[in-house]
Amino acid sequence: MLLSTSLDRIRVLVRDTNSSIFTDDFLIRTWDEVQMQVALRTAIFERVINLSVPAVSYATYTHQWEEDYIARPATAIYNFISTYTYTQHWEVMFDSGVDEDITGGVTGTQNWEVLYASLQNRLRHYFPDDYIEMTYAAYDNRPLECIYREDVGNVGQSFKTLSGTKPSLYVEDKESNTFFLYPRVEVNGITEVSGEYGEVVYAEGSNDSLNPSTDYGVIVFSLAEDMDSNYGVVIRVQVPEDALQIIYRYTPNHLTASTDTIEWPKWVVKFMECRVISRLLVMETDLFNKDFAQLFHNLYEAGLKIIERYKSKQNSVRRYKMDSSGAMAKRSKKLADLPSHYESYWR
Amino acid sequence: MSYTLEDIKLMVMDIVGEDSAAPTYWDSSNDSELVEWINDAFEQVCLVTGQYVEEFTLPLFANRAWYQIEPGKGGQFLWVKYLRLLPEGYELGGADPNKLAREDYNWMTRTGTPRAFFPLGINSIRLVPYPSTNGQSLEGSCVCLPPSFSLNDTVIDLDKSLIRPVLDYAAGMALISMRRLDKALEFFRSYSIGLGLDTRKTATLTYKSTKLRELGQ
Repeated sequence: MLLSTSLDRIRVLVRDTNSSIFTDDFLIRTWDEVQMQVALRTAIFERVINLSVPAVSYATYTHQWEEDYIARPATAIYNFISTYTYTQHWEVMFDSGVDEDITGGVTGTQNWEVLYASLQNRLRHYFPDDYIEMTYAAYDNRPLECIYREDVGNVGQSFKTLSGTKPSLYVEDKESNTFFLYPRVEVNGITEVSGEYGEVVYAEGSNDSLNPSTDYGVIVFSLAEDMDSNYGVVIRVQVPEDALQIIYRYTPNHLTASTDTIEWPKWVVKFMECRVISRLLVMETDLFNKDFAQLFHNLYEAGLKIIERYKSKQNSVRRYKMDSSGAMAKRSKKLADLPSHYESYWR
Repeated sequence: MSYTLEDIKLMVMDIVGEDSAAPTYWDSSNDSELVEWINDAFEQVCLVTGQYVEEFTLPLFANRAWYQIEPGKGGQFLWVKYLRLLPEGYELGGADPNKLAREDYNWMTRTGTPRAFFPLGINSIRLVPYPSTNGQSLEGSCVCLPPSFSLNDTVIDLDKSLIRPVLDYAAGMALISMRRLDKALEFFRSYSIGLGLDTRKTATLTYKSTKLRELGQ
């Protein structure tokens, strides 16, 4: 559904079909603000992504419009690699017979890597910029624990130097946008500079000579995008082996033009239109009408309630919950590290 | 008795004071807004009641664990009612990644005959374990929203008691567009009561402010 369709519906209901009161730009900004509010409040968008360890976000895109997504490792689209259509890039690796490396491609990296690598800062993983909250995390196809600094406390200073194969996902605090694996995992390709964890060297200049198969894990950067005329910027698909896989809830794409496509299901769009209208009708214009604004606000609130009901229905198979407040710190101890041939209950 | 969208439209017009036999404003060249609001009303009713269900068959591919579900008739997918594996014929149970992690440390790499699934986001599911060979399929039913109707379409077979909320919602929107607040309020109140919605209770909805949710919660 195009944003322009929704704007037309809004204009009919506020009686501003000729844009004499509200400009399109203003409506789009308001719409975008409302959608972000609804996304945070309802968190109905959820996806799973693979993040390389160390935090190199290889992303492949084939069309110019996908370029905007390269800073968001979660949303690269890979539907050209095979006859199948992929909705998530990690799906490619599940498809047998598909080569994950694209010949003739170049390696793209994230802008934040330039900053962190050139400043010689300790490299952390970044949560995707559309991240709201995490529901599951795994490293190398095995579940991870999530811990905060307060869980490590004053007795856990060794986290700076420890390495191991069964890490936890360490987050500074609940508002932090970054995280790292604790203990850090041994990864091919990292060259430690000073003994501190996570500090890396990077290849200067062109990275075309890097071989994704053997140089995996090397932090590289490029100041200019290099496009392949056939493939666009094409690089390595991140597989879950030796990588992080996280399931998280996210916010939709920002809307900046009436030609943008709304990411929301159409049935949610109605509720957001009500919120936009209620905002418009309390502005200092000739359309000011507090009572109508309240009516639309009530419709919006009813919509939120319907979304809650929808989530309840949809997630009725995911009602599992750990009730013990102390379980989080103990969890890794309880979890048996079983060999891969261990018989599970469904076999 | 089955209704066409045209029947519903005429009923709404009568309710809001328009002459349905010889409309002065919402004539055939100018009724797209009305049709849209009626379609919105059907969406609302189906969303709350889950009355519209579609069945689907989804082929499973070797080594693919994640699948998208799309209703076959153009509607919008809401949630899964059941999933049955073919040709085995048994129903897949619901799961949760955190629950799976506690029962089997290696659940993410298990391949074999699927026994469970968990939903992800709007319309994706993960099969556990996932098949390593082609040949199986999923038969399922899902609660959906119906595709938009055109005027001559026969609308879906709703419970007759739910036609009233459809009319209330569409009439409410029509009256809003006429700036008749009191009457619109009355119809929306009737709509809310008809669907069991009480907007006063929505103040208890929680705001998601915590960025990281602990595993298992």
